[in-house]
Amino acid sequence: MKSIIIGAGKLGFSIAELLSSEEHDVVVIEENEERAAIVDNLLDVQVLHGSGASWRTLESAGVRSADMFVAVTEIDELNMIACLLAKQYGAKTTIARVRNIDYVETPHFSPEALLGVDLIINPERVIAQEIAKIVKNPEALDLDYYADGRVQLMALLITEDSLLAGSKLKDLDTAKYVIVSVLRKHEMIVPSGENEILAGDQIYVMANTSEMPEVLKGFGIHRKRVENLTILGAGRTGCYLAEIIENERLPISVKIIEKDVKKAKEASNRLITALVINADGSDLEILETENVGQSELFVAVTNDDKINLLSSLIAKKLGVKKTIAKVGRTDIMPLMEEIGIDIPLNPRILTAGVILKYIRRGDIVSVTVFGEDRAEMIELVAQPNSIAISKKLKKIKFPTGAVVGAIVRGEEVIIPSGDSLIEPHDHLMVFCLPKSIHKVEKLFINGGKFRW
Amino acid sequence: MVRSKVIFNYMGKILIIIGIAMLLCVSWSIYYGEDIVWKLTFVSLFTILTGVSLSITFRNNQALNYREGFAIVSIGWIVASIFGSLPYVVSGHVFTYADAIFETVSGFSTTGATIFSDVEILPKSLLFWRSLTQWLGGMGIMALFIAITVGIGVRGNQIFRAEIPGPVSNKISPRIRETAKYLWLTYVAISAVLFLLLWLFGMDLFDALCHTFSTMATGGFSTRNQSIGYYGPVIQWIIIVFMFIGGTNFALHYFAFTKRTLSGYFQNKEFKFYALIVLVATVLSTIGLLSIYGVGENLRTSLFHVVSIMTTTGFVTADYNSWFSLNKAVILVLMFIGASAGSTSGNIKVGRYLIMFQRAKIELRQMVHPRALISLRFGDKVLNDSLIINVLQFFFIYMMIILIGTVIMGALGLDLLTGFTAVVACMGNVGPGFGAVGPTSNYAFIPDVGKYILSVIMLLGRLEIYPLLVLFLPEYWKDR
Repeated sequence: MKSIIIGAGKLGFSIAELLSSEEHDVVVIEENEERAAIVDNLLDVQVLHGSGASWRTLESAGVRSADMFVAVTEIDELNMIACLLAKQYGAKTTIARVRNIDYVETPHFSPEALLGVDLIINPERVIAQEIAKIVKNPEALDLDYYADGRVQLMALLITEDSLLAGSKLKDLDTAKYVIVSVLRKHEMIVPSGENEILAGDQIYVMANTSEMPEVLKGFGIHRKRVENLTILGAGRTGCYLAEIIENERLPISVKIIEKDVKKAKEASNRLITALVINADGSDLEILETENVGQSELFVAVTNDDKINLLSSLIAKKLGVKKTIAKVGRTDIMPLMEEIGIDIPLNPRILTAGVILKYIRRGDIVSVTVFGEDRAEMIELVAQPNSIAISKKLKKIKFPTGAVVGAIVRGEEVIIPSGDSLIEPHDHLMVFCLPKSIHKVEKLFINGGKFRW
Repeated sequence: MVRSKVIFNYMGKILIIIGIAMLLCVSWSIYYGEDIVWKLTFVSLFTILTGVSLSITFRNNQALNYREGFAIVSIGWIVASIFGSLPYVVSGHVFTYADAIFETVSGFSTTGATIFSDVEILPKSLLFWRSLTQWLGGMGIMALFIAITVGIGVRGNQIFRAEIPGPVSNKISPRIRETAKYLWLTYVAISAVLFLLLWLFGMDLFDALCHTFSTMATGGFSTRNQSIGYYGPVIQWIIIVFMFIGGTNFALHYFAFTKRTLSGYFQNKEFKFYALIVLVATVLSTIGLLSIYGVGENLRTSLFHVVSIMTTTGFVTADYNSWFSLNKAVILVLMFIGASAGSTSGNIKVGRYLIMFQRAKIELRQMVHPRALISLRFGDKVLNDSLIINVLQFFFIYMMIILIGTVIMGALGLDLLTGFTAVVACMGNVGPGFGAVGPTSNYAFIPDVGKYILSVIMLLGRLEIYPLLVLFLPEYWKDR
């Protein structure tokens, strides 16, 4: 597989790293010489210096034979033109980062078809959508949907007073759910029956979406709706988030705090129900007068990591139940959780996840990457001639570090036990750690054919 | 700076329109064999010739500047009123010139206040002129002028904005001339429908035409002493519906017609609020009249007066002066409201109230969140601060004019209720007030000075204050 990446910024770098580790031949095109040199030194990729929208550079990068073309420079228009050119040259799949929603959200035509771009990705929007999911399910630290929304995976924090704390997995009644993984001290474990759940663990639970509320009740977690939401920063992410809430008519009163008058004014013109406050969000007095402590959720999405961190901590101190902070630097992510930020979100990791999800399509329906260990939740279709067909789950030699979370057969969602049978064309949700991904795919896909 | 050459040129063109309109009266005069036919012919030809000579003497192809737009509208209305009063003067049915000017301004401004105690003895041609002035003034003389002037281009913008009522005007076409043309065509088309309906349901041709003119323009002049009370329930219902239509933004009618859907009305906040006020006022009025009328008649009479006063038409079917306090209070309040922006109605208008209510709510919310930035929306548009201030100022000046006017009326010896409601009804272009200027009386008894002042007030109301008032500002005329 040959991949070309235009723009070696933070996102471009991450994608290059990811693709190169997936055994792609990666060519990175970067205009800035310093950035180009950094990529050349750190990654096993070919680096070209030049403009991604110039045919000379593209030709010398071998665009004609590229399977994957990813344009992620800072400039929307350049990304789109680069993809347009690449498509004309014969690149198979093109992906562009476009931040300006006016280019992307046309009600009448699909911009993808219009521009010849296969996937348009907007990092700010990705974060906003991710946060919106948590807003709707505030008890979760992370969640995702599979099989057209029929199956839900939710990350939950086990507290001291949790009903699960201290119990062994085999003692639990797991008819309606599967605990696919436990994250303990930054280490992802796929648990067996003997494993014990401890306070402080983060567990990943998979269940039928409609039965999830019941499952949570069984855990002693009471669903608390978010009624008041405070967003710090009326940049793109903050506005998208408020817009999602407005468009879906969620019964949430949204307050946005923005320091910059111009941005605040723009936001107040754009948003209909949200209340925009023009003030410094790291100012304790402001947060107190605006009664931020009343909010169930505090979302800090300014472009400044330090402000996000500080305000989140103040908000927590004032009584906010849960805080979400955008963090640009990946190296400090583990620290964030330790000092009390409930959910740190990194735009790059999320965006890379979306891109990965897209490029893995094929035999695999979808992929979501979790945590720092890059564990994956794979949705795949069991193929008729593969090894696992017509076998009970307990009879299949499953690799350690992998577990089936749910089986979807037609409209029916099956929470698997050892006696569950795999039938052809079943959709399987498999959680696996990176080392066992290949083995899992061999079990369910014809002749163990491996992706690219 | 304001160039007199430009102003004279435009005045000439406007006079030509007025003169041609007068010729229509001449034709009725001939038809009915009236003895004033030669006098009318003379004044109309005089008006046309004055117009032609003005526009030839002061040739102008230069673009209008911002200030001249106001001057043309305001002076244009004054000139139109002066020449428009000539048919009354030559007819010999008015006692003083003040009467003639009052009646003309009342016509053009679609107020419908009259100095005639018996209209049925007037020549038909004069009755026609009364109604025609209302119809011309309803959609706007200037808008008509823009619509028929080829190549007016950007020059029309200032004029159009100054004349079309309401805080936010929506251009229905990118070109101002097309906008004016489509608005006028819509106006003519709806008028034609009303005319046919009135004619079909029993009015004679002449009365149907006159009532069409004064209904569509939400004017209020009738050819009958009893106003619409002369006619039966069917005619009354038709008039109710078309007064309501006249009080609706004509851009909405245009879009409803071209897009063949009524959804535009129901998406429009101002229209919904307008309809809601009519509904609430009618319910209140019906409750008040329970002891006087039977159910059907009560509903019709209540609705008729609510719509008539709210759209600033001023037609009546009964003497509301003799009704109960609740009814009078409702009618008095309606005299301060008016219908939609972009309609033919006068007054403060529902759109401005919507903006002021929202602003009041924002003011209160801002007390709770001192640092919040809250935008004011009108439809899907966000209004900027200067427009909001314009609306608030409009309300302030409007009220000040009413207060000062009331004092002047008091000084002239009118009793408080009469003086106050005369000013309110003239400022809002409503027509009838309470007391001695109530629905069964007229404005004839007011001293000449009072009539001139009320005429100015009617013009201020029709032109929405600013374009006319700015002429009184010394700076306006200085070359700066």
